Amino acid sequence: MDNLQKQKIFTGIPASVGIAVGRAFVVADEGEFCPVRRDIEKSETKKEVQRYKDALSETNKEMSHLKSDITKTLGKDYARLAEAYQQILSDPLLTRDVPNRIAEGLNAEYALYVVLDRVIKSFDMIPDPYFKDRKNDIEDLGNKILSHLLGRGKRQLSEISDDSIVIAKTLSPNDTVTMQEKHARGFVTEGGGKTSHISILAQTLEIPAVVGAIGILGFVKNGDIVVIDGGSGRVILNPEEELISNYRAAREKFIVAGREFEKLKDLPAQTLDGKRIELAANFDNLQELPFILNSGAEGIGLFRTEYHYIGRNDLPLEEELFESYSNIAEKMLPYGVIIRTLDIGGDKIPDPMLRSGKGCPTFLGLRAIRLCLKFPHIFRPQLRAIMRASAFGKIKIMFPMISDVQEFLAAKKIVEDVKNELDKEGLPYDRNMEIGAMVEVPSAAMTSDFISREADFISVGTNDLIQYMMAVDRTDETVASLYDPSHPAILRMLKNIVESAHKAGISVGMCGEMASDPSYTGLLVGMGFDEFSVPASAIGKIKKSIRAIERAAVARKITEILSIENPEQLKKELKRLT
Amino acid sequence: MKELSVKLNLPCGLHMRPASVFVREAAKFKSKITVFNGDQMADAKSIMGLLTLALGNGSVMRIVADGDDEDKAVERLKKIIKEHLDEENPRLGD
Repeated sequence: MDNLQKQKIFTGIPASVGIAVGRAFVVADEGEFCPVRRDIEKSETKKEVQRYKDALSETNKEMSHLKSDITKTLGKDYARLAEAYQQILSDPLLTRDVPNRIAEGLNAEYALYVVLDRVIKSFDMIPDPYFKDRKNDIEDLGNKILSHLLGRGKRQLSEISDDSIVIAKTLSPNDTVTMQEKHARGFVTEGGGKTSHISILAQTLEIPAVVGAIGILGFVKNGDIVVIDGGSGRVILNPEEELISNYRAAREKFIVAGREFEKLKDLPAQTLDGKRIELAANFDNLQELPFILNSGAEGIGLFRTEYHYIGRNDLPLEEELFESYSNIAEKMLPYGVIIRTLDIGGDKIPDPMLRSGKGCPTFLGLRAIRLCLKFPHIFRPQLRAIMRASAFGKIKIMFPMISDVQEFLAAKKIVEDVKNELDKEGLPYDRNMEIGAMVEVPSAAMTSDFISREADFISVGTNDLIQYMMAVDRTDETVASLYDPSHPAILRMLKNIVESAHKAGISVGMCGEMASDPSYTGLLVGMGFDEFSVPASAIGKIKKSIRAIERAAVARKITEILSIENPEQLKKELKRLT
Repeated sequence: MKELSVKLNLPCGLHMRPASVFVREAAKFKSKITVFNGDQMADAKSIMGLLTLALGNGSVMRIVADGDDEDKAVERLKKIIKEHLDEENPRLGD
């Protein structure tokens, strides 16, 4: 289209591989809720009130659309937020007080601000975090009304077409699902990191994506031609002709590689010298199941159970969990499912007992197994559901965030109690179900020999392990470069873990981002990892890498590699392994 | 003027969903209806107002109605709290 537009390149964090060429669909930034005051002439106030009322009804319409969209894609449970917003829209503060202020001579934007600001301030003074958080809803809704007043209603993601590349400040996991349904070609966000949930979902749904492309919203306009390379993190606005054709060619190549992976689907993940690796898929929520079943994965190696607990007001019942777990385990047969018990902090768990707790749990706080051990009324129903489901499929259980062997034994003890309970009730379960520990806390990694003696298997969660070992917050873009899986400290730790597990005669796996990066596959197989769990979309490329490795030869080089101090040289050596 | 105090037995307190049920009922009456939590007060017909009261489980909710249908209003709201909101499972209407 416009040749006058200059090419501009942004580099973000590669979030989901693939190349896309398309047109920008910009999701407007909501901005700060802080409008300017203008005085309105008495003769104009009626018109101003009408303008405000129009904006209210536009916002209401937007919520109706949102409600039906969410109901269609995610189910009625998720549509509650839109319903709640609609009720707030009919609050007399908005339908009566704001027009009254306008009648006094304030412009609509400012009148809305004055009224909502008082509400927001009262929310600020509430100590109870649940009620305090409603402030965000009010602010969000205020922004929605404001954007209608300013004539720039947020464009609905449902309006995207099949040549769209969505560009936004942030996107929610629901947005990702909408993009996949509408066949968006890819997306770019300014916020987020590679391991944030939106990136993980994009990988599963196989949408090319780049996150952390800071500054792009200041330049991009709707309809601009955009190229994104989800493998390198590059985003190019208004690319020159030559570049477009290069990327189109690269895209072809990527698609051909995809077809090649397709051919590998039914072949085993086996090295050239015959070592069989168990290659399984990660599971986040139900929408992914078809992709997993079709990916050639040998089971689910990391079943994330959090989705049953998020976005609701109460705890899920044992029956609900049991239905879900047994159904999925049955569908995965003849392969197995490793179910990881709840891995979230109390701020996300819909339980009133936890709401009274102080502050927001941090990454280092009361979460995952720590929380579960403290609150049996949350842990037990999940354990019972998992155990009962084990009668219907091949299930293993895995505890997240284990800090040391004592914690693991405490969790195992509860499993024993549950077994006794089920025996008394005459409910069937798999008596030989394996129980494993996730090794993702440095203290557990250092003492993995103790844990390996008690566990049936262990799995290394690299995302957290790297974060805790390097003392780097993985969502903070300014320190992201310290998050390096090939850091000698990490590699040495991994080797230590593998050795402890094998000494105890148990299998050791890896779930986490590092497992799905083929540049590490050679190294990890050489170290002796027996199992990998990766997003469904990465099964093909990891299988291909495994099938090209001469394991014994790589294994001989490991000691040498671990003694390299220079990171550049280390990366070069790693490249040679694959 | 008609008045009533109830102790809330709602596991999550008067959060978004029960509050919205309450507000919808209150809006059906002509009387001016005010809700108190201690010395904090809010218009019973305003969901935002009601939420800022932060009525947690076990807190005492005082309802004051003033107008032609004040008796009916208080009766009805009492019934709503007892029958519809006072449930072990707060997932209303599912």
